[in-house]
Amino acid sequence: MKKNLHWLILPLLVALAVSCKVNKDYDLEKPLNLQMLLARNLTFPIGDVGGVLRADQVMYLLGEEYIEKDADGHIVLNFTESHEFALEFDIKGIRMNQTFDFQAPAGISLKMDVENTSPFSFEMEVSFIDTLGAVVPEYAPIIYGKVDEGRPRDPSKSAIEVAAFAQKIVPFDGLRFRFHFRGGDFTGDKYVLTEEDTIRFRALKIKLPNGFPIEPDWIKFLQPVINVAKLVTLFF
Amino acid sequence: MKRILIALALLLSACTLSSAQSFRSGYFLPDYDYRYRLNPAFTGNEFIATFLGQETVSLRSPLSLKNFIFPAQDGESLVTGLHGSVDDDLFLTPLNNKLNPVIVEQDLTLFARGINRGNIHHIIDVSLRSGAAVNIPYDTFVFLKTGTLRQDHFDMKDLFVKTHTWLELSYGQTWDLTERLSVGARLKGLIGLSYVSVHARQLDMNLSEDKWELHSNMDLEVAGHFIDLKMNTQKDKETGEEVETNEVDLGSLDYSIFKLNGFHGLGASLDLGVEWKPIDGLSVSAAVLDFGGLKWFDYMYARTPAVDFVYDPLHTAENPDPNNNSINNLGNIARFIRQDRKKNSFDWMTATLLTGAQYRMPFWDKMDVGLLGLYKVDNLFNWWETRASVNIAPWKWFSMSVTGGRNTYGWEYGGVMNFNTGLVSIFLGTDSISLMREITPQGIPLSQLNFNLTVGLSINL
Repeated sequence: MKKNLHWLILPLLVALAVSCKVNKDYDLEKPLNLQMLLARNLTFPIGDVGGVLRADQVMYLLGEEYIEKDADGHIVLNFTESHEFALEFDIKGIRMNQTFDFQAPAGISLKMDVENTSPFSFEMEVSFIDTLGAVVPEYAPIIYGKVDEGRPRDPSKSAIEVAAFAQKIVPFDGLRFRFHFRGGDFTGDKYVLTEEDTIRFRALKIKLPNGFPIEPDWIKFLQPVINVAKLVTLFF
Repeated sequence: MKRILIALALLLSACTLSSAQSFRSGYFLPDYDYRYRLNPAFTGNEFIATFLGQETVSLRSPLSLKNFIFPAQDGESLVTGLHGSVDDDLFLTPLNNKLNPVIVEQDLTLFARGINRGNIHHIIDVSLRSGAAVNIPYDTFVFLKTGTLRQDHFDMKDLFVKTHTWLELSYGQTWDLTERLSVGARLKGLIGLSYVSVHARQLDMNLSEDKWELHSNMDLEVAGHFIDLKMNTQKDKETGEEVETNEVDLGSLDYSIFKLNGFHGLGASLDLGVEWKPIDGLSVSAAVLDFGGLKWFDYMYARTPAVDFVYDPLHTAENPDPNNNSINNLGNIARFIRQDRKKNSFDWMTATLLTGAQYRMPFWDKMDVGLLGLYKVDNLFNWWETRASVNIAPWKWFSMSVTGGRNTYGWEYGGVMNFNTGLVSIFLGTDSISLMREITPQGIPLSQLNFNLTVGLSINL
């Protein structure tokens, strides 16, 4: 009995060794897809938009034929349901100097807070422009955001998020807003407009909700690890 | 691509196969010539070993292959955990340790000699030892995988890569004070050959929607003539020639053993041990290993600029500094600037505490059982283990141990076989083998990265 004890050890080891479970799902012969999606939902704060759109500018741009003044100096708007007016407004000086090349369509959102003390509600569309004022073609299409009407000294605050898709995030130098006013919303209302009735764009941010899709160069990616491994293995 | 992946995976396994600074499975093994390394109070045979006397490599980590590689949904390929198809929780939950280190250690015996003179056992040992450690804090993975979806503050403190190599010259003695009590000590002189460390002592990122703040304090330390690290260059405005700047080009880091022509560190450490046999058949022992350190001198020291990056464009009136409010300055946090002053640094060894108890079986005197407790004092990565072993020596020419235990990172099983032909001793063992675990078809363990192997040969005198 005693003499036979040691013969039990080796078979026991072999039995334990063969008890390993092979998981074929992790067959390392299969190709490795190195596409990665990094850092989703990253938001870059950009700044406040320097330009301000005054309500009287809006009036002027919409067209004097729709505006009357009554005896008390109140402005009366004569829009009808059938009218829709578009107004373009460029703001420059928002610089983004980084270029990110994506290998798949990447989403990009523009977030901003709109403070509106003008009596107008409107929808807006945003495009990105370069230093010459041309629309940067990589960003399209843009989705509309709606801004509620405000009151003097009591601004409406609308958090606007507009989204676009781009093959690559390229530098841009400014934004072009296109406002859509529906005339019927305020037909017949009377207003006293002052310079304080404005539309301001604050806290502009760019969000990349879908992250950065990359496919790293395997060797470059692991170079630091390989360097360390080289150092360690020098002495093996 | 797949060959590279397999090669890397095998390299990791090989590291574990060839690594084990403290080869725990050999602690109770009879006739194992290198037991003095685990406890200098253990006496042994007279022997001599030259180059490749014993080679031990070990790898410790809470991570595993399964943490990073996932089967793709098509079933035909593999993806990394950062692929868009891998669920956030599936990737992040198993990594939820504040620290995720991978520690590789190797110990190559160049020469060893054991001499018995009466009650005193002398040991002379020359070894080449090296270690490398990488740590990736959990928040790094969270940032890469989910960006700011879950949190916008990331603490990546103690993100680091560190490697050091040193020569160890030691002399030890074991005294049999009585029949039942032995004590031993081994004094080791340490000669530093190379040292590279990149350590984020602070790396805080606050990436809220309104404001980005990055606070970094990173050190780069390099010592060793066989390490190549270049500085960036720039054109001189007057002469138009490329001149070296003080900014380190991290991409140029390379090594060549052929440039080894000096040393950059000196130090000492001590092993102490005691073995007591209170009754026949029972032995109790304890040891402290690697108590000491290495002072590195005359090495290149660089650090990132001591300027916090605050990008707050929504409050430019309150924070008008245009340098801060440019996203282009973000790269400054990873610019290492060489410092004029040289810095000396003391590098503590990873001290190890061991306690053991061994009992010979009354029904068969060729078999005994042992219980070993181990604690590694490793600054950030303290590590413990309790390991039981069954040891048999049925013949004079053969002895073996089968071991199993639990440590900081889970259960591990090991074993060692020692063949003693009378003239030559050959041994092979590991503290971590894949038993009852998932493995890839290539034999790579999926759920645990820990592995090690010790191989060696010595000539009996």
